Amino acid sequence: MAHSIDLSVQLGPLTLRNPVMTASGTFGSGAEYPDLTEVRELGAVVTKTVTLAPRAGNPPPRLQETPAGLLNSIGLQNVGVEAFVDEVLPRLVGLGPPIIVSIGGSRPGDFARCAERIPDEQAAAFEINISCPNVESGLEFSRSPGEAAKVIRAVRAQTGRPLFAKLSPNVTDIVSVGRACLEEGADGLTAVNTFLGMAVDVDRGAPVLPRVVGGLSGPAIRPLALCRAWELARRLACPVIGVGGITTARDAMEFLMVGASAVQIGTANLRHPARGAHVVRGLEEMLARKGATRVRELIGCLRLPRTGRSPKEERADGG
Amino acid sequence: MSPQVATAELLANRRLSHTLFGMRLGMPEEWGPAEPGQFVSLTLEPPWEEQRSGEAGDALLRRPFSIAGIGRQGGRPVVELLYAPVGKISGRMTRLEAGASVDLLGPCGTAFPHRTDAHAVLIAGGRGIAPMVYIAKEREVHRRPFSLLYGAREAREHLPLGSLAKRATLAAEDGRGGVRGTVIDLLNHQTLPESPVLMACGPHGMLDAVASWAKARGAECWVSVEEVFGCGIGICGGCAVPARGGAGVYERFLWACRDGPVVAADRIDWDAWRALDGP
Repeated sequence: MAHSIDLSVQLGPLTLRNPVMTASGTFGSGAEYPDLTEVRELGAVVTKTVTLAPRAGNPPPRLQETPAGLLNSIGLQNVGVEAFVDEVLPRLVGLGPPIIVSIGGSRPGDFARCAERIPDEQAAAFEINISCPNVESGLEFSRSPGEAAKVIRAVRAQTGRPLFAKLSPNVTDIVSVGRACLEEGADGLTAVNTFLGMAVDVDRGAPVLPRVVGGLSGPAIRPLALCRAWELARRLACPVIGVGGITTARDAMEFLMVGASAVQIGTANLRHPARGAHVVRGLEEMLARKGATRVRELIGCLRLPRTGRSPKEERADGG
Repeated sequence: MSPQVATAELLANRRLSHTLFGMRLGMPEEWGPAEPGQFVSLTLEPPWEEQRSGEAGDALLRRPFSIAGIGRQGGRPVVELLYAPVGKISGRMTRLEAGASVDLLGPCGTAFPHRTDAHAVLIAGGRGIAPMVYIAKEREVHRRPFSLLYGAREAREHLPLGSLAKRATLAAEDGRGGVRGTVIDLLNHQTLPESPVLMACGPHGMLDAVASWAKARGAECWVSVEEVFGCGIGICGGCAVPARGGAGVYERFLWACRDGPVVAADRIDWDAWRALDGP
């Protein structure tokens, strides 16, 4: 039964065999995985964000578990693009799923130079991380449509690969930032990065995280992330990749129904490596139960109580 | 071997001292091998699919536990854990009964070196006794020289050591058992053999003191370090510990779960780590 289900999705120019990816920073180099068969089931692997120069990351503690959530302040610790291209990327490419390389930087030119160093044939696409809350100037790009546009423009000038801008939820109007990215040539939007959060060690009277604030992920943010994904899918005619607290196929289905064309699994991978494989299998089963054969039929199928129309239909009407 | 996700069967679970509990877990046949110093990461949460609409349960992440022994029972490997009920998962662990299923990822991380000929001075603070029991039993079986220095805040916290007791010196800060003081007091007052290899597991402050003791005397020293672990297998980078001697900026922090938990003491930037403990 399951083999007749078509889970493939289209993200602009990029076709994936299924809509389930890893979220950036929650999949290593592949060497860590006990069971590569699970890794091979993923629709795509998004790498940890790579920057032009190596980064040390933030001082510990970097993590604090909160109710149904995880505050992190990793700070983009990474080996830098040179070592990434030499040592990490070839191993990732060998795993099977298409590799979406997440790139970061502190100036638009850094993003572009980073993308330039990555061999086209090894990156199925780029995810532009303009929204890391844990580095200096991390959020500046995604808090203003103009600044976000500069980054996308710089990377677009450098590569013809599909580009997805990863947006921050820590903004007043995520749609305007997303629109600016699309106007500069982004092929889609990843919604969302972590929510700014903090925790206090009451015994010490000090913040738990040395940088005071961190990014909140995990099931706690799922309804918040879902709402952002819905807003973007409803207002902008573009592929949306939904991310935020997804652990099960039902969670993934929520994002697909509000109009996301794909999803990413992040924090859940920390409890179960390559958790996405379970979500892929779960989606197949859900589709079979619904009598659907193609997951695409369900993307944006949400029926709104008042209008009885889906986001897709609203968009077609210019609504 | 790389860590595997496995469902373990709880075989026994009981209180062993005022603060410590012991758990024996029956593993799938092909599980392991594991070495002293390595850890397993466990969760008691039901599978997500069985939770209502994907809600998270009580504890989102797994919790790491140093392996306190490996045995065999009925043809399958048995993992022994020692734990103190100090958090969400460890608190619930005390209430589990034989037959319960435990979702376990492991074995993870690095092990203590064998150093078969050297005299190993095993230094344990509090629940840091877990890997030391494992090493001590192995060294006892293989007739490798060792002694055990074991400190606790209160004497009633001490794990009963059985046959290892004759090789152990105890300290308790309450003075009700063994020497009044800490393992550092034991280190300072004991006559140790020539060229000992120190192997330590315990709170950060204790490891710091052991490392500086070893450095002052030019002794080889290995420590098992802990930070909050996210994934336990070297993916997330959550368990950073300030490191020394790396080639570049990326090596400024090592990852306790991937590069450790057991590392040579001189790989750690103790000054930087101490400073982070802050006011």
